[in-house]
Amino acid sequence: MARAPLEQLKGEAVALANQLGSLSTQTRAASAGQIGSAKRRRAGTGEDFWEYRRYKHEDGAQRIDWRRSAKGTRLYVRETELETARTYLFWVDPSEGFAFNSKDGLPEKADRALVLSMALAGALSRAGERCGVLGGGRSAVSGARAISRVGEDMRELPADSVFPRPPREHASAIICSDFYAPIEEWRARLQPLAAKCREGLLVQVCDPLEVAFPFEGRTRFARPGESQNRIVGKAESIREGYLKRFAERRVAMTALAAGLGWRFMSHETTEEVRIALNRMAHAFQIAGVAA
Amino acid sequence: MTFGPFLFLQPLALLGLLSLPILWFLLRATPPEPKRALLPSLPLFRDLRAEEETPSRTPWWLLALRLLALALAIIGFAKPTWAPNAALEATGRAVVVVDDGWTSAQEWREVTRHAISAIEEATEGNTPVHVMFTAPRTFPRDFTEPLDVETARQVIRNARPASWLPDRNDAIERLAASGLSPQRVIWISDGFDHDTGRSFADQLSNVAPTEIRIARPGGGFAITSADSSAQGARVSVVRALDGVIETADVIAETAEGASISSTQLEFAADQTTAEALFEIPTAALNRVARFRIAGVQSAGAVWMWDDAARRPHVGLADAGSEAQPLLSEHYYVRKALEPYAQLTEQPLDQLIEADVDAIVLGDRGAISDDDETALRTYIDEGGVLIRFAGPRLAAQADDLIPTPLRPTSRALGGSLAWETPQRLSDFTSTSPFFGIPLPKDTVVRQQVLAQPSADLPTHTWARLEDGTPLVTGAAVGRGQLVLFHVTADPDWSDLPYTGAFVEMLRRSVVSGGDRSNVRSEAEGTLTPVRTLDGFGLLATPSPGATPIQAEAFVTTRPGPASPPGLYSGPGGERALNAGAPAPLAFTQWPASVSVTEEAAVLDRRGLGGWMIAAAMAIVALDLLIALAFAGRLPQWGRGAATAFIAGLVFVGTPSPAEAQSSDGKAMEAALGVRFAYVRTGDGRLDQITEAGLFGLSFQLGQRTSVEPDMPHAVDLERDHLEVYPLIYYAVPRDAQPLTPAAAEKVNAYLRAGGAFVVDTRDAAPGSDVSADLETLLAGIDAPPLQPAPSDHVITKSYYLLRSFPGRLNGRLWVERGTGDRDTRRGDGVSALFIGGSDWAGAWAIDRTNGQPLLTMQGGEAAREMAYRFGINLVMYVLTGNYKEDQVHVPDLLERLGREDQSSRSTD
Repeated sequence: MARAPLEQLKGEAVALANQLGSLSTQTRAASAGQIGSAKRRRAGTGEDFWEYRRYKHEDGAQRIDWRRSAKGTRLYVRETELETARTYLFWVDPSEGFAFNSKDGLPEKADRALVLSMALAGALSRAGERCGVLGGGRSAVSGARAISRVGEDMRELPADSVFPRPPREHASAIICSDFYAPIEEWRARLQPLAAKCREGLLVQVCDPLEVAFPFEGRTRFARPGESQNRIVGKAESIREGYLKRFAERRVAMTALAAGLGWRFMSHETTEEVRIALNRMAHAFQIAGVAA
Repeated sequence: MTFGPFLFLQPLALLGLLSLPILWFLLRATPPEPKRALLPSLPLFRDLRAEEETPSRTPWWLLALRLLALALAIIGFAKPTWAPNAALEATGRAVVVVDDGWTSAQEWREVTRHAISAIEEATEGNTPVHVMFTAPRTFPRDFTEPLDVETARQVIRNARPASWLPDRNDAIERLAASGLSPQRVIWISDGFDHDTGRSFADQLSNVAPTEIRIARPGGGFAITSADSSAQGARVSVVRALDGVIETADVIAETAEGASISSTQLEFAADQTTAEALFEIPTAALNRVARFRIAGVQSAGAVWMWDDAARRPHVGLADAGSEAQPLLSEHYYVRKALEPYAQLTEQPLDQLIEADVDAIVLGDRGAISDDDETALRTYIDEGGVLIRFAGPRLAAQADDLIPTPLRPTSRALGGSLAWETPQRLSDFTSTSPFFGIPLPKDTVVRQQVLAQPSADLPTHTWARLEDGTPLVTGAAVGRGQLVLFHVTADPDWSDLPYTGAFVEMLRRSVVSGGDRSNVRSEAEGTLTPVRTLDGFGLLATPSPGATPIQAEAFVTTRPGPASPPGLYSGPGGERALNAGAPAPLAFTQWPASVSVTEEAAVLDRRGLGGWMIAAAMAIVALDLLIALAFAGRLPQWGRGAATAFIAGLVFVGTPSPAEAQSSDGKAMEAALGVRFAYVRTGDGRLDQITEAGLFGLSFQLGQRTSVEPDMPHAVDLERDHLEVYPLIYYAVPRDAQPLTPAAAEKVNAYLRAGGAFVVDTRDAAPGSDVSADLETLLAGIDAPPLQPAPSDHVITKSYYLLRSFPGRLNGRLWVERGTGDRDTRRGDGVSALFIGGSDWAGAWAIDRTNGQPLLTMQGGEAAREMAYRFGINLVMYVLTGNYKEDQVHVPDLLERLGREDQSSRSTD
């Protein structure tokens, strides 16, 4: 399975990010630790004007905006918009099982995940957020470089790399995988990460083949990149069981994400990319609001 | 190692069978190759139990198939051999004695198989074997040399039967002289006695336990003699054993090997000899060089005919002077016998010495005592003496006559006789002359009369109408004495003028016995020219063949130095034949030997190859099955199978499909102009009719604006007829009347304005259509018909025509166009056209190359006229009476013009 060239994916991602526009995410105040350029649509430390508000006693005198206050009888304080920078760390499962497409016309799951990640990174970085790769060699950046940074660093992850250690600073994590590994394994991976990342999004990218399980007859199933296989005498006989497992896995992942305070969404490679991207963006916006 | 009737040459390979149980487990665990599928979500169901896992284990029958394949292969590699007699094992050296005379040639393959089987038995455990042949050879093989199995086999394979008989006495002497003391003797015998069968078997069994296997030729295996007969030739064939009725074919061949004639003979159930009688014309008989039993390849089955045998040697005694040949007494005899006999004219005593087949003696009075004695001896030995009567014989008869004569002659007719000249009476069936066409106008004017006696009728070969004998004959010893009671010239009778005389002489000449063995050459040597090999093929003389002294030739038996064949000497070519005397079958074997008759002996047949082949076939089948399991059988294979099954279903139930096609056909027909013909069931006729309508359609398309589609075949009962403008019915010769249902549909079609053309295809001057047309078309509502009048529209609907020819030229019957407009149907247009001119045949063209399908009288001009008629017919059918109305156009125009003028004038 030939991977699509990164440039092509990047072009796709840029176009998507442009469609998405500047993404303004609400983050929980407690996590807005770093000075940055991402506007938070509330008063706080920043450069741009946000609002005038009535002077409160606890405000220092030096905060009084005399020009505004001189227009009336009340004292006003000039608030600027909070500008912080969140770090968004992306991770796309580099295993061979994720680099899979069932048909030639379909993109590989990993490529789709990468496009989604880069597009989201593009949109976020445009809003001033810093984006990087979880476990990547380089630090997160904001601005136009972010898309390339995410894409390139992601591509450099070796296929057999272990799940990266949590970052040192607080960040938000976007983990793209198919989440077919045992749930305990994922729990073990994500819990340390969640300790550092209060916010997180688990994006499950699936191939329609995995969703539909259209096999019949005697079949030898193998996982890409693994020599182990499983022979099933009548594939159709286990379809129900498989579909049940599949749904159960989604439920379990949702529960796992909820337990971590994260969100879980799934995406099929046949679906529109834009929809998935919107859902991802929405997840963060909602997350911000919910916070 | 033997196992029942099987012998395993590589028994160790059977140990492989021990691996079968192991393989059973392995195979059980190795199911057929499944489909492969990549599925990253595999971990989700890695521990999921499938409810049905049976196919993951090999089905038992597949397992059995594979084990069978393996077992077959293992057994095959053990080289099993079908050797039912392998159990008769004996240890020690064996001598395999093979009869290789020509008597074995016919069954030589059998002999070789027996011998090889015997060698394989005898060499069990690498014991050497001796192979000995019984037929004498110029340079006999040294059989004392021990041979291993391969060499012995090679020796047998290279051996060829001799064209002479085996000499077993010589063989037993050689065996005794060799000092071999074998433990076992296997004698592959030809099953014939050769005067030595018993003694040889006895002596062999004295040497060692003896086993005899017999490969005896079946059916007629040898020709023992071939003689000229009255009709041609008579060939004696002998077979080994009697018991059943058998037939054999004997072929007469020329020197070049061309077959001139063949005849079948039949052995009566209790006879071992039979005769083949050839009826070959004299001229062809002279070209016969040999006789051959068809399908039998042995030297004994070929009988060569030398000059002497082919043409009887006839001596004309005391011919008299040559000065007046036409008056010579023997002139007519000579003329009669010349074409097929070798004639010698010498004094009588010399003729007897010359040893001819027959002596013709003219009218002789007294024969000297010496001559008479010599002649008697001559006849005794098989010679034929043919005498003619005459004044001298009548006056002074001697004893060399078949029946006593009256000492006078009887004149018939003439001025002084009461009796009129007599004609010949029919030959009786016992007469040697039976079957010779009788000359009706032959009269006998004078004859010598036989003394009436009791045995006179049995001696009478030919008689006159009054019953007096004309030819009498008597067997003396092995020969014949024949007396013609008339002269050899036409003095006494017209007989010498007739063809019957020739035949009578011919038959008389060959009526004697076989004299070939008493015939001897005077001097010189006979050199072999062509010799026969054991299989009966003529070849250049074998190196061992040596010239034979002429006087010894008669007594020479075929042997290595004198193989059967043609020998050339001063007296012409002589043949030495292998088949005489024929050997006798021998069945009384001594009790000391064990005898296996051919039926019981089966050779060892290597079965390994078959087993391995079967194993391979099973493996191939298994592969297919495995592919099918894995779903990898190509799609076309499944498609083909589906199509095959569908085809079966279709063939099984044709009627619904046909019924459905009828609607489809009607729909197709309704979309364009298209002619139809009635499917008659006569394939050839239907084909021609279709080609005819196609040809007509093609010509219409070429010449007119009518462009019909391909014609349809219709079933009058079933199909929709109304969609066709014209239906052509070419009546087959054996046509059945239309069924009521069909007639009803045709009537409806005619009422609806269709055109129905009936072509009986048998027009002849005076009868246009067949007489049974009425019965054929019974039920069809036919209005009165008339021959199409010369001013009928059909004569001018496109071309101007005077007649309506097809391949034949008959009249065309159409409906009579009388009656008032209301009652006549179809607006006065004839719907029924009846003729017998085979129009479709004339129109028919080959669809592939556009060439006319059938020839017709008158060539292309006539065909053109036929096409013109066809086009007129179609135009008439399609346009109805439009063309009829067209003839009024001038009038109408004139009237219109008048109205126009009148209207203008009123303006």
